[in-house]
Amino acid sequence: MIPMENFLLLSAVLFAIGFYGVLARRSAILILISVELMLAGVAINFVTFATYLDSQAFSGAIFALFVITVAAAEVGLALGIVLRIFRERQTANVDEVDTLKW
Amino acid sequence: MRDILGHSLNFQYELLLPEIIIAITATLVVGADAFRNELRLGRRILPWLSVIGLVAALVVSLLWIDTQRNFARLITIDNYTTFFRVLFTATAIVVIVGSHEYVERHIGHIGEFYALILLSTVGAIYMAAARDLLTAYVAIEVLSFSLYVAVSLARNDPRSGEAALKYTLLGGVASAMLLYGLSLLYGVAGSTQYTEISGALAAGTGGMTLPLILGLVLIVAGLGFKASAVPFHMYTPDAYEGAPLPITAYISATSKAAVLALFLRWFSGPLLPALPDWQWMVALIAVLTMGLGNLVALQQRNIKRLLAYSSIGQVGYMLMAITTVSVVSASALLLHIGGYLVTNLAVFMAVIAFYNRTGTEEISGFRGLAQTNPYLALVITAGMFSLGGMPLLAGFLTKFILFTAAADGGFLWLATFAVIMSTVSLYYYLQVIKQMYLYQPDGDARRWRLSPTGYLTTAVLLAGTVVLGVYATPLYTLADRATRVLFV
Amino acid sequence: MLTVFLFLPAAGALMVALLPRERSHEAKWVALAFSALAFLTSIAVFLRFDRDAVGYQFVDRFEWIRAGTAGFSIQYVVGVDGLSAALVLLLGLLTVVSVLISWNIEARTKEYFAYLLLLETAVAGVFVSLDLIQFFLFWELELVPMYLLISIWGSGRKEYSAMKFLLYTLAGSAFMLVGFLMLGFAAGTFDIAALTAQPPTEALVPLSLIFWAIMLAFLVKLPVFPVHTWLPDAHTDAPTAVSVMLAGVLLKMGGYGILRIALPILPNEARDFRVALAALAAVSVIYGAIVTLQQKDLKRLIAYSSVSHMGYVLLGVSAMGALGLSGAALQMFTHGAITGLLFVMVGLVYDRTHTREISEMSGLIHRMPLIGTVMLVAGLASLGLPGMAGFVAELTTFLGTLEAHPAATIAGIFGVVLSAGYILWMVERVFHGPPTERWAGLTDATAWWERTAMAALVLVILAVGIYPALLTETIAAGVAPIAQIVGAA
Repeated sequence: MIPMENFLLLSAVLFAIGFYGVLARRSAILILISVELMLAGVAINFVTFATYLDSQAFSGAIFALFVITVAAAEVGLALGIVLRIFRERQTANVDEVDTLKW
Repeated sequence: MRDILGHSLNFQYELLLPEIIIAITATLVVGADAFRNELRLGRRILPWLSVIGLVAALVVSLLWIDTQRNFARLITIDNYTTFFRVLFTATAIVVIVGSHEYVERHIGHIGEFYALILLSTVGAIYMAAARDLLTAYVAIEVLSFSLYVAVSLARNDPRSGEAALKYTLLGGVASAMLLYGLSLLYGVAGSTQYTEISGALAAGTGGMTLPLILGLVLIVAGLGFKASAVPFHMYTPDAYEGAPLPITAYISATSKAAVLALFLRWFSGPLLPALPDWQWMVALIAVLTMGLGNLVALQQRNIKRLLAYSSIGQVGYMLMAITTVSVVSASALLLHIGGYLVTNLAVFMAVIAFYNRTGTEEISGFRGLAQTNPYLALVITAGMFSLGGMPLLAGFLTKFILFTAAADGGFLWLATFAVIMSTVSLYYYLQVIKQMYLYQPDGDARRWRLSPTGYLTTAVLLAGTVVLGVYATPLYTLADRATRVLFV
Repeated sequence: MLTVFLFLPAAGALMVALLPRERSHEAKWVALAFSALAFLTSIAVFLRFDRDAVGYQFVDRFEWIRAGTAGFSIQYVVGVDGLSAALVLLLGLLTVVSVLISWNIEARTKEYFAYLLLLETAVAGVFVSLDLIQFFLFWELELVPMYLLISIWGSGRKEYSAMKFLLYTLAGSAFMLVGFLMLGFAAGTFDIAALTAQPPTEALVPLSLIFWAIMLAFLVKLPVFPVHTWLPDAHTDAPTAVSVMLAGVLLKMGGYGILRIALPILPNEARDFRVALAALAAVSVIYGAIVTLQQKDLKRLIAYSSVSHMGYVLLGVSAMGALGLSGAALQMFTHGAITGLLFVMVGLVYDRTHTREISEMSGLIHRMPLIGTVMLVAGLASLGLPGMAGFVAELTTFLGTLEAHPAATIAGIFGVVLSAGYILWMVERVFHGPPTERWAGLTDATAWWERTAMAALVLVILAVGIYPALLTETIAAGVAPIAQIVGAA
């Protein structure tokens, strides 16, 4: 059986890459994708723990399902807002969206 | 019915009746708005429909005073839940009644506006009521998603979309951090049920200390984001400034209170055994939040941004009560949340009424308000003095009890810092009061009146601010009863 | 009865505020009626005060906030002893005087009188509260009307001065609240009588820290060097009536707080630091007097003389004996009446000359003999001429402190000499000398309200000077228990 640590490492790496992306990327779409990466890491974590530690109730797996669903909803919502901004200013770059003090 | 582990589950849907009513009302509101022409309805009907639904929910939620039941081990119905049910539905009612004129003028999608307020209220209530990490998470997202959209609803204001974008992206990051923390917590405790987490943590973490601490850091950071605690507050002033005013009011009230309610539920229950691991973190962000929020507020020129920073400062005071978690500080926190909601809404409703008339958000725009509308100036003054902790108003008393609870809990330095910051805060509130009372109005110096609903909401909230400041014992008793169920 | 006294002005403020706009000229009559009623109540309190009884009198009490599990409660409890009875009387008198000399206020009349009455309630609350938290409530409440009064109806750099006043007091009171909290926790009660009976012996932090946290607020208010700088600004820019209230009763809040709270509740710490307090007092007296000598502005001169004179209060306190404390309490009362009168007179002069530069005035007594005479009376009282109120207070103070702090007392006596210098110099420059053309058209005080205000204060000053027992017995009855506590410590 593959040791649990491998999965946890994978999820940590995904989460870290996503977090780096959030900090480094300036396009709203890419930031959104990075957030999705972070959430993917979370889902893997939940499933791993559910499989290895909580095989009876697998509430972690259910949690992962919810995370995926909610993440999808979030993408839809965020894209809607990005669209609105794009229509107003022809850009999706967060640095150029700066009417407010960031 | 039983689940896999043999717990008996009861699916008593009547326990969820208040939220079901609110959700159905939300659907009706959207539907009525969509088919307005076919049904020959005026737009005026929407706010009243929402208020009727909320009042019904509020009345129904009073059925479960002093009960201790749960829905399928996911949601608890106890006094704590009832306290926040009443608080959040009442807040939603006040916001809707106080802002319907603003909504007609400045909001693009009226039906969605009311529906989102209703749905976010459901999310807020379940944040206080959850007894499983999963329900809590879903509740957080119900609240957050509704607000992301609501922030973007201002018509003809480019700041609105921008604020919504920032709020959504950073909110997403915060959720991801919170979730990662929760997944680690799940890994350490082996369950998502509050009761079992608490048991597992109390029994010892068995060499899993590092994941636990990492998880706690991420949880505190994620919740800190949602509560706009420093250093996770960056989006708050922008979201406040860009959002339509009623939504700003709503975020500063319900959203803050809901996160604090969740904070308290978690840190007094499932996470209490890990107290030594998280206490310093919360104390740290409490200090940062109080300090930075109040100091940056000193330089603001826009009333929304001023209130944003002031509300950050207020969150700092509330986090102090989480730090010293105990029955005393928990009931002090609930009392303070109650007082803060009343006071803060009083200020916001007055600012909305002011904006309806003048269309300005600049603090200098308040010049001479004491002469053009002395009543409104009085409401804002009372509200700001109360937020600043002036005696005989709600803010002083609730803060006072909160600070004593912190000092009592062994965090004297924190309470001392809070007292000093509270004094600092009076300075920037005074800047607004100064504009209203010391100067002559620019240009139009005629007297003007509020609309009847404007008078109604501000008068009720003003009365609440004064009554709580003079006689808070009833609310304290309620808060005390609500928090008793947390520590068993 | 005290509750009536406490809330009568507040009720008056409410009534003034609710007057319809077209009847705003009636505001002053309403204010006068309510302040007169309050004054009568304060006289009744003073007369019916039983000097032989022990403890507080006219006590009204109910539990205000019961924080169930937190283990403490906040009460509404008011009561007076000999000390506060005298100050309540002074407050009642000076408010009437303030209303009278505000008779000419034209701008935003309603608000003005409402704030003035609210100010009376707040200060009254400080003098009669017997619960630390309630004391703090009124202490803070006083800031609001005061800030608005100075910054709206003041002159010169009024906003700056009002804000400076506010910030100094707020900074002090923040520390005071922290100190109160720690005292309350250590003892489990906020009741002043209970705390006095059983002072806490230890707290979360050293008691001496608490002592200084609380003293800071009182010393700022008193004020003593080096935290006095707000006072000249506030006085100079405040309208006349507000200066009267400020000098007459607001400064007394500091001295009262020391006598009521700092000394009896923390007697050991007070004794430990008595030399430091005496030194502060001596520096204040001398420094205040020297700076006063250099003033060119009439109002600023009186303001700095207040710093000097309030130094005597602290000096009396630092002796920690019955005589010294009596002297301090007496000095508070007489300084209130005398400096109140001085500010009234300066206000009347300014109303006529529209300048406060001493160098521009000359020979005014030829144009306004009455004002000149009363000013002379007030000035002589201020420098401590026998037969006037100031003499009694200063003599008692010095007698009380001579043994404990000889050096500081000598400094204090030297301060009296200096005050004779600046008062006489001021009277000489302003009222004597050749009459000039510029002031030829001035009229004397003729309006009834001007005369009533002057007469009332002159009467009090002379009465206390000639027959001090009127006041001293009551004050001594109030001070005796405090002296006993600090003396025994």
